[in-house]
Amino acid sequence: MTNLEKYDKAFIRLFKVKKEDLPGMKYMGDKKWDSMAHMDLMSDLEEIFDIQISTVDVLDFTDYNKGKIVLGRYGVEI
Amino acid sequence: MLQTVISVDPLTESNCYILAEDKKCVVIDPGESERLLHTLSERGWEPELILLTHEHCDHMAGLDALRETYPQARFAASKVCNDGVQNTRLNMSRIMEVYLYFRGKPGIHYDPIVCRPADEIIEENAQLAWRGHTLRLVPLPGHTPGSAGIFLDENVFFSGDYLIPDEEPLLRFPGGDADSYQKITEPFLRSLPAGIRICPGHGEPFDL
Repeated sequence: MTNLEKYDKAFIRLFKVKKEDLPGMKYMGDKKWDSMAHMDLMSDLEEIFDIQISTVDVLDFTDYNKGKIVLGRYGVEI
Repeated sequence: MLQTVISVDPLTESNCYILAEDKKCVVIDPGESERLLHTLSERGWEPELILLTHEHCDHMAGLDALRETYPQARFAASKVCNDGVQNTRLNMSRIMEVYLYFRGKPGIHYDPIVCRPADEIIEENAQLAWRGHTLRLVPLPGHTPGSAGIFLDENVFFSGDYLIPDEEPLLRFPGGDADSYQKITEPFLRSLPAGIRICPGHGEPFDL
């Protein structure tokens, strides 16, 4: 499984959305992606990619696309 | 005569309960150590037993410091709770800094922590005798896998992060399980007898 597939799978599992909906997803842009879900998503991604995301980066992870940039800071190329 | 003191962690607003009898005590949820150790030292109380209502760091961050200061104190926990205190994801310490930010406390540095394993693994529904009193645990999954309510002599109930005044139980943390809450925990909490003293993990105790 590629990093992109793992990344997408985390969103799809947590938010129960379709793959085509992912690019438009934003933190707080939908009631599904609230602060609780955000913490859950970060925990999932940490486990999937074996990284530890700093608080600054958790808060910088504001949408689906920005998340790819954030993970890139930890050597996870998506 | 049993004395009960609450030590509140100013950062997380978690309650730690100290039950004392003849200078010996039981500590429930040592969420921080500084205030707790000061209270124990000031009163000359020695912990004999430490219990947790669940494995989150705001309820056990003071656990190891307490055990180091009072090595005779025995930390007893169910296997699932014991597993949780040793896991930074399940005990929430890995994400606590972010959680505090979302709770309106930005800029707080909070290191991930784990605690040493329990001194004694007990059944999830253990009944413990202590200096003429009975402490009875009831497994209450939902908030965390290792959540438990603790009855003291059947007339006081330590509810952990359930029955917090004006707050719905949080079931979406790592390890949270809304199904288990609805099937097991919620019916149990609804069955508690009127008049019982509720000592929640946050907020003031109250009579049901």
